[in-house]
Amino acid sequence: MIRRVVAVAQNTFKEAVRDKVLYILVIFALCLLLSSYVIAPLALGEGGKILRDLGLSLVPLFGLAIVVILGTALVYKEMERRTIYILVSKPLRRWEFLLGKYLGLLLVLAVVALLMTLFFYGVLYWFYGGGEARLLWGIWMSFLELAVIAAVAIFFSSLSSPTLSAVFTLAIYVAGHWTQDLRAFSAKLPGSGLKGLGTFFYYALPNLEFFNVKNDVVHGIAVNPSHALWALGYAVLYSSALLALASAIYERKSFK
Amino acid sequence: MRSLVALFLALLTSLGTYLSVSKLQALKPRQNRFEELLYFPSGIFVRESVVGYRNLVADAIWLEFIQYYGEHRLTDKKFRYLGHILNVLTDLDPKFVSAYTYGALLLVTDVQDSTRGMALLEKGMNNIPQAWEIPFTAGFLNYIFLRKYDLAGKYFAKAATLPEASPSCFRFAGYVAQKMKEQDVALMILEEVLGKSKNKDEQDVLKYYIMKLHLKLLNEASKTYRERTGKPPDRGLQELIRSGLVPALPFEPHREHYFFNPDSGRVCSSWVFRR
Repeated sequence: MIRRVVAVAQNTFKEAVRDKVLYILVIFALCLLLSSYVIAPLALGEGGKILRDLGLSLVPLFGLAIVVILGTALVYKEMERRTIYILVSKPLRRWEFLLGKYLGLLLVLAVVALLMTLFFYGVLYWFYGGGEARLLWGIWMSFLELAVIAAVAIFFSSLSSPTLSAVFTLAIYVAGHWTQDLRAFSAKLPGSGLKGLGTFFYYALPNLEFFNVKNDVVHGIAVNPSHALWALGYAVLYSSALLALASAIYERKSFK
Repeated sequence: MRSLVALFLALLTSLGTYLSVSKLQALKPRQNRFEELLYFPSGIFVRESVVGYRNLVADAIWLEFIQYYGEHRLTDKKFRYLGHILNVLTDLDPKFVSAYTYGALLLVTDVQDSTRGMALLEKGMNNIPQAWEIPFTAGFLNYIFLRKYDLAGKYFAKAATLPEASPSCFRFAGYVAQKMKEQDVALMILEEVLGKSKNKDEQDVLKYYIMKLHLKLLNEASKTYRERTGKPPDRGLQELIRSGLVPALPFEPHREHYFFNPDSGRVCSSWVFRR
């Protein structure tokens, strides 16, 4: 089972590299270098903060672009190219296929995030003599956020077209950052029915603000280890739940 | 051959694009930045709409704030929306220490809105209670510009109790408590803050006030000299030292020098004439 999942994941990664996803690194590098040379001198002594903010924001932003562009088409592409017929005729379970696709996407995100992080620290070293280790917490938590969004993308990719999947994934991404407000609003709603609906969406939507520690790490505030551990657990559980749901739907899907 | 033609066409159309942009820009009525900022949204709205990228947007607003301040400082010296920009900025990034300290300095000095300046610092003290720089700035502004010495002393004492507080917080709290000579304390505080500042615009503001204070001290000495000798110190300010009215000539903060101007009958800085 593991070998089959790994084979699908490896293939997904190779496909992403062939699709020139790693070119995104060039844009990332250009953004960081340009900001270091152009914006930082205008920032009245806050160039270091701006560069740190930019690095910590661009890693998840470009990761999100990869998830939306690549992730939302991953499953659909197999159906469009009709390669899905070859895959389903092999001893490969549908959930193994979905899990492999998801892990392949995570591998792409991990490699891209790692290379961006190395470049980010390189730029910080070049301009400010080095970057603090705590910034890694910000990148790690953003990676967890991307892992959740990747599961959302795979879920929609197994249901609908890439365009619709991209729209739904982005909508969930935005709503995922508003869940705290949703909870606050629903508490003020009249009637238990509406309140219950608000609470349902609060738990059903991914709570992405749990992963947002960028502000803290930039300002030198350490991330609470128990928060980091719970966030990891939340990301794993939420992604697993979505993948399980996607598998359940995919199992019933007819490819005729 | 075809690629050369395509390249030529690309160049030609690019040039055309550049010319049309320049033309359109010239035709567009010049917009007043005041009017633009009328639509600058509230901090809460911006915070919700930028999802997980608040710091990045806060940095963009910091740059906008610098541009807004710089532009008006060089032109009409009206800073109507400065407080609003700072509020939005600190809503987005509540732990941005410089936004509170530098922002409050400008609100108190250039905008002359001490209520808003102090409110910004209070917001900072609530959002980052462990940052000693914020109560220190509150003490500094109360002492130098608002002349509320008791309040200044309280803020310096508060800053001194916070972790990683600069030793100057203890010193200034002590000076204020001992009610040392007001101008000496003011000068020490200004020089200390200038020495710590990494912000060029902030340094300019501080240098200007140090120079003003130096000139005040030198003109007072010059007046006493005139009363004693019946003539101004027109042979140089060294006469003030020789007569024991000042211990030494202070260093002009802009690396210029002070001199007695016989036309105005006052001590001046050569910096004013070089500007």
